[in-house]
Amino acid sequence: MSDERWVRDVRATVITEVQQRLFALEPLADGQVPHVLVRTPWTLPAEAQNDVRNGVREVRATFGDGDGRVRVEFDTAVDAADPCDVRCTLPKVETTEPEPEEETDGSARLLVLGFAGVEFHFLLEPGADWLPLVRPATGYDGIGLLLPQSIAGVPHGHLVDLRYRDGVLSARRAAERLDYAVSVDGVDLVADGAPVPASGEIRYTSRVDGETRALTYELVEWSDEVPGPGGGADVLDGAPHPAEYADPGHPGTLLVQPPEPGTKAGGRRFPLVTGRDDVRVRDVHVQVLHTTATHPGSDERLHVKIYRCATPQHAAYLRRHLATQAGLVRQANAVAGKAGERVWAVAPIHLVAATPPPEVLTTRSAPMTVSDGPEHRLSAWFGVPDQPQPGCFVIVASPLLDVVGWAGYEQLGTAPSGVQLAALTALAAGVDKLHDLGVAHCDIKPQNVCHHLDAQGRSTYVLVDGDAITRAVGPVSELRFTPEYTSAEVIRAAKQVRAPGARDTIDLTEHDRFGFVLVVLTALIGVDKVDALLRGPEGKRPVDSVAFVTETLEDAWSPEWARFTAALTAAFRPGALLDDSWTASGWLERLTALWSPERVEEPLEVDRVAVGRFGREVTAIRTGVRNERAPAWAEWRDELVDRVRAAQQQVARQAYGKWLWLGRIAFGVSLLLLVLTVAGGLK
Amino acid sequence: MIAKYLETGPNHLAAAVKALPLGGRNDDGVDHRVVDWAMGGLAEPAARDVEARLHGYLQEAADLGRSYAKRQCLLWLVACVPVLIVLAVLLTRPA
Repeated sequence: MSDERWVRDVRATVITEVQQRLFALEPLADGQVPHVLVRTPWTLPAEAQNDVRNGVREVRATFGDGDGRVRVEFDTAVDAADPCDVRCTLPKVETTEPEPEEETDGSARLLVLGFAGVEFHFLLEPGADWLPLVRPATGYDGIGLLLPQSIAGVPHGHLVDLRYRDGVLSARRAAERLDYAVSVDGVDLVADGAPVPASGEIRYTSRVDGETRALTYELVEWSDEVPGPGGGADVLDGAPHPAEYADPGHPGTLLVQPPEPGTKAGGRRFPLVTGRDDVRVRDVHVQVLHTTATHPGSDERLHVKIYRCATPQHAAYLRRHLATQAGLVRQANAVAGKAGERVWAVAPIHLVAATPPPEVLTTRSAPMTVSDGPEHRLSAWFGVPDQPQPGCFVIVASPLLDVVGWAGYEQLGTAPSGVQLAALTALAAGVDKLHDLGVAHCDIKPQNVCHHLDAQGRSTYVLVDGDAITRAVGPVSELRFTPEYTSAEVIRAAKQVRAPGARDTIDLTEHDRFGFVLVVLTALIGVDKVDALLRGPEGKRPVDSVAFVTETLEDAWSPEWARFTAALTAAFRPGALLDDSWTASGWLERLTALWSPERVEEPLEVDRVAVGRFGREVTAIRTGVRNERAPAWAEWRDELVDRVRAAQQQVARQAYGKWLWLGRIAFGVSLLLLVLTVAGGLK
Repeated sequence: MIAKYLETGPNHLAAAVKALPLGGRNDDGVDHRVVDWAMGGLAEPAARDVEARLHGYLQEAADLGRSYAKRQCLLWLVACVPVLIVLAVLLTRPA
């Protein structure tokens, strides 16, 4: 039997079975989520799985009000029937045994899952229900403690359930992926569940090849109860504190500038996934204050964010969260440049070490002088000098960079600039790497792009606001974005978040890609044109229509750019950025290849001399520029303006000097004659 | 009017050249095509266009230099007049 025919048979069998089973289960309410398990003798291709999943969803939509959900999982088993076994069950509504309130431990715990140096945080609230720990396959829209799809080391599917009740963490083996044995600290999990230690290792062992993958876990104390004013010292007054993570280049030394007078702390939330169906996300609210700092003996200024959390537990979580983000940024930057290069895609983040504590640099004191007056305490900066709470602060530093002043259309003219494309290469590679790691920057927009000079003095573009980085796949309610720069897909999901049957999870990769496409568009056509495309009601902006975007580009650029425009606007076609094969680097490479019709032909000779009377001077304007630096467009332009101005002065002085001698000689001759005449007369 | 001739020294010229626009407001004429040209990314026809544009800016500056020089030259010639008058008086004076 051919593969195609087998896939067709599988699809037909699944749809027929599900139809019959759901019919037997009528009346089926929207709130019920039937579970369909398809077992095949060999692996069904991902595309076919999606096809089957969509077919099942269509069938599910014919029951209830048409908004119901269905969960479809695939498994491979040698004993499965040909073409497949289909099991369709309707999980019983968990009847939580009414537990007396006083018997349950009411405090939640922070669950920290770790894999390959990256941590994932969940808030585990006490309850009787089991939460699936899942690395979902494509299209999964169920609940649970979801790990990124990109963690290839963890088998996908629903293998483990966790429950936290009465201060005890329990784990059980779920029904899927029987080709794996799952154990916690060497003890195999069973279907009925059993208590497990508060920290340890979840080990997945393949029954086929014996390969083992481990996921570490840890339960950390959690409290939302704000501590009393208490005593103690703020971190900036010289008191010792445990060491954390620091900038390896400058361990433990930082001179923090007090915030500008009148600076007020802003609010910020960090969503923590619970994995529960009722409240899927708990927000950790923090106050944040921005200031600057320097390292002793260095002119390099740093941007410092000081977070004030409600409780020490919140601060501990935030430290872990930011340390994870710092690690992800490091990994993204590692691929942005060639080996050994200091190229960034995202400005690095450093959690400031508290030992030795950072010092306060004030206008009254010299650098290196520690000022421990009460006015230099962090709590005073936040306007609560009577609440030191040293354990509630988290300090993060990152390089202070200049935001790109994007050129407008008038400056850019009637053709796109290739220099811009080159300057965005590192950023594109970094964005792709973040997505490979299963996280998204989440706030890519032209305003979050800064200039950065690499070790060679070349200026490139770099993303800032790296603490917005979050898992690429997560609950829709976790979304945090700037509406103007948000993809239509995310806007749609955010609007439907409370609608019955709406998707619970969303992949933010597409949102990031959309932001990157807007950055490239801004660089090529001008910030004013892009602003105009983004103006409009949500979901009905000009940028949401590929026809509008195409029209704008065609009006802006001459017809020779038709192919380039087509490649550029392809990213705005519905669903284009959802394609797994789409990458920022690949798209940028395609644009670069099409950048200029002339570029494909013979490029300009390096030693070519311009023609005309001032050919030598015109040639000199570009001589030496190319090899000195490769700065971003605005810097290039400034430098070229200076060079043109200098050449103008030079040729003006030359022309001036050529004519001036005539008058001066005439005057000199007259004067000489006069002198000679007078001298002759005197004789 | 007189200032037009008097203010033609080298410093005046430098200031006037500096005030010359490069293709409009905010030096718009030095656009990304010029940047691409400097990077060596343009082929012959496009490069010629850019070079012609830059050539035009230099030509403007040179014309300004020539114009200032002519006026300055005229000033020197005017200065010759009293000298020549004195000379003429001396030569025509009866011995």
